[in-house]
Amino acid sequence: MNGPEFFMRYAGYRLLPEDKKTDDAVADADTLLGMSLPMHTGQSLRLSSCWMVVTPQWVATSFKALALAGFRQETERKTAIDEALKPGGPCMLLALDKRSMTARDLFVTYDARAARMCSPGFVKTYDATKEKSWTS
Amino acid sequence: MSCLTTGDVSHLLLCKDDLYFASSGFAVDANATQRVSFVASLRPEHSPQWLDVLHSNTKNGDLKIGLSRQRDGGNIINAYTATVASAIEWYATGDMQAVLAVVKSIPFIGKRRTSGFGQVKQWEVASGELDGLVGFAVEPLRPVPTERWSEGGDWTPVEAAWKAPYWDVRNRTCCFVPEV
Repeated sequence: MNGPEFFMRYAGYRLLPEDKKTDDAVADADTLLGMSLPMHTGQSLRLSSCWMVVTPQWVATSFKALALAGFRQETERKTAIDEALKPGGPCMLLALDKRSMTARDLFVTYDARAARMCSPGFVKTYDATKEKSWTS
Repeated sequence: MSCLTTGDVSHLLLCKDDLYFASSGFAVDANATQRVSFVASLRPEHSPQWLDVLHSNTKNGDLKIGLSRQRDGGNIINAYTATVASAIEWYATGDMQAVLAVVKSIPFIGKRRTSGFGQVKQWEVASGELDGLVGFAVEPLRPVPTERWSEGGDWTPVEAAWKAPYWDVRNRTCCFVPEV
């Protein structure tokens, strides 16, 4: 499974309107990341200037998504990242700024020794097991 | 979009189920690196094929510009890391002499081969023991999907493109990759 497929399956398709969905996860991811999304504040905003941690079981984000998306919004970023990486399963770590993210920026982290922090146009790979918080 | 017109040796290499027995390139005696940036000027009037790329970067999706304002497409900066090395080695299974015949006239290689980087002084081929997939330490020599890796070892899986075209997101999956 590639990054856009993972992102859309576990997070993106909860946000993408039905009439925008196709059979292509890459195209759907590009559509989602380029469109304004309704927030629980009543406003709408592109998926930007926020962080997101996506796992097959849960999604945590600072994006003020609608409650029906089922995202965890009260979790601290560092806590969410540790909680996603330590069990060893696949996850996706996103750090979005104001620039538009694209499907090719999405990478799945399969191992904490090569954690991939995805940003628009840039992916930082680091060894999370060497972080101070890993053993504490 | 660039098109490979010279140096395609894919038909000369062993390939099983889309997986080529051809390694990544490994720099020999790499002693320095340098950051190099290039600016690509994307002009919708001149480069209509870039309209889809530019569209997502515009505030309202509005690309209606006049001929006198063709600069509105904007510039996109791309950064690369140039490595100083005495040679690059690949390992592969295939027709050695036929590969040499194809590549021996190629003067530059690499992503920025048209910008003066990656100049080739000489091409050589030699027989070896490696098949292009597995190294002497039983390490992966190229991105190999984890479900197709039967050699074992505690290698770190990462998402990577394992078959051409390598820029296509759809060709990425969970792979064991070499450290280059």
